[in-house]
Amino acid sequence: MRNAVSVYLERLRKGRVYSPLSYLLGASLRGRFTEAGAVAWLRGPPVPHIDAGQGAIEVGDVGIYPGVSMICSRGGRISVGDNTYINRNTYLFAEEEITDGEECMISWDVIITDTDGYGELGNPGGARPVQIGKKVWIGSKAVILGGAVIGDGAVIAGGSVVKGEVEAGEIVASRPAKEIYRIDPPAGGSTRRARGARGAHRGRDRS
Amino acid sequence: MIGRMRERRLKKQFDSAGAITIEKGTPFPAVNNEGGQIHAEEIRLYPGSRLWAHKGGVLAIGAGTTIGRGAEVIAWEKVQIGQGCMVGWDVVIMDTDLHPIGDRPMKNKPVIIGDKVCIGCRSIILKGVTIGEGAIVAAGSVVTRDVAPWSVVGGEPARPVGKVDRSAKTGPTPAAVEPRPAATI
Repeated sequence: MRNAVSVYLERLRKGRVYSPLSYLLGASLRGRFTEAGAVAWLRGPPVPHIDAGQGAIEVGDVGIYPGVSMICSRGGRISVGDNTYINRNTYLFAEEEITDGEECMISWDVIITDTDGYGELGNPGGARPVQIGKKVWIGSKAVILGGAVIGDGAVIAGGSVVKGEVEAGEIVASRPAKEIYRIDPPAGGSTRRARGARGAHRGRDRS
Repeated sequence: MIGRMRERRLKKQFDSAGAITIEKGTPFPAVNNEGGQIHAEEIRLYPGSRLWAHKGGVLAIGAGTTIGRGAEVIAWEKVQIGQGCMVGWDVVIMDTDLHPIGDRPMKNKPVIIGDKVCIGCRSIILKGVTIGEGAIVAAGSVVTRDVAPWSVVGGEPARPVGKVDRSAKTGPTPAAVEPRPAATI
């Protein structure tokens, strides 16, 4: 078991921290995960619905907001990396595998599923694993469908539907999601990032 | 005990109902019958789903159909959903505008959805739409026109994007593969 207090103090030093009560409440959810780091449940109803079933849910030091669902069906696996937070009413449903990297920001009402459910009608759609890289930012009400592979540092705009591959540093939007801009990878430093932001603005003016 | 009471109250809203399976989780499905008719055969309701029949509206759902999490079916005139359909998460199916738009009077037109139709999550099916048997509506689409049988539509507004391989589709078997326990009322 990871020491929740040491993680709390470490995060306090970095200036990013949830309240002690959130960690305390998060500890009450520990039993529902197969493996868990220091989980913070940001208090409030509804209670997160975490159902590993026959599968496995492994999370690191994550922040979970009210109403989050993580459900495994038929031995599906969900793994979420450290320092990720999952906002209100987001729904993760795994029939095979969902992998979520470190330091991701997942907004509210997002649906992440690795199955399209047609398998239940006997169609060979079935489940395909979803992979989400590090430092990915997913906007609210986005839908991530089976087979999606999202690279490090990508940004998914709110309301988009992601089906295929999103490369590292891409900003995608619309249904189905298309590239609208590319930012430099996070390793590029702050100045290059700022230039990228201005470029995005110019691109919008032209259209 | 509260769960039992809820289930009994929910069952009362139906005019005719087969075995209705309610999946675990919150919020509890809502069935609002405001003087219309709600007919359902053997169906499966997921948390947060909502069936609403307004006064004079008819809502009919066939056997083996699944209403996904957070999906809403709104019937002010007539909504008919066939057998073995799968209605995805957060889908909205409505046969009405719900209120007049500007000076124009409110319009209701029936929505008919055939058998074995799959509706992807976050889709919106608007009034007057007929969806043929076995069609697939891609996630996030807004369906404003009729959909041919065994076709795939997607986008806003939904346009044909492909065909369904009919040979691969064997028929509805949702009850056979459900691994999680659920209450049946």
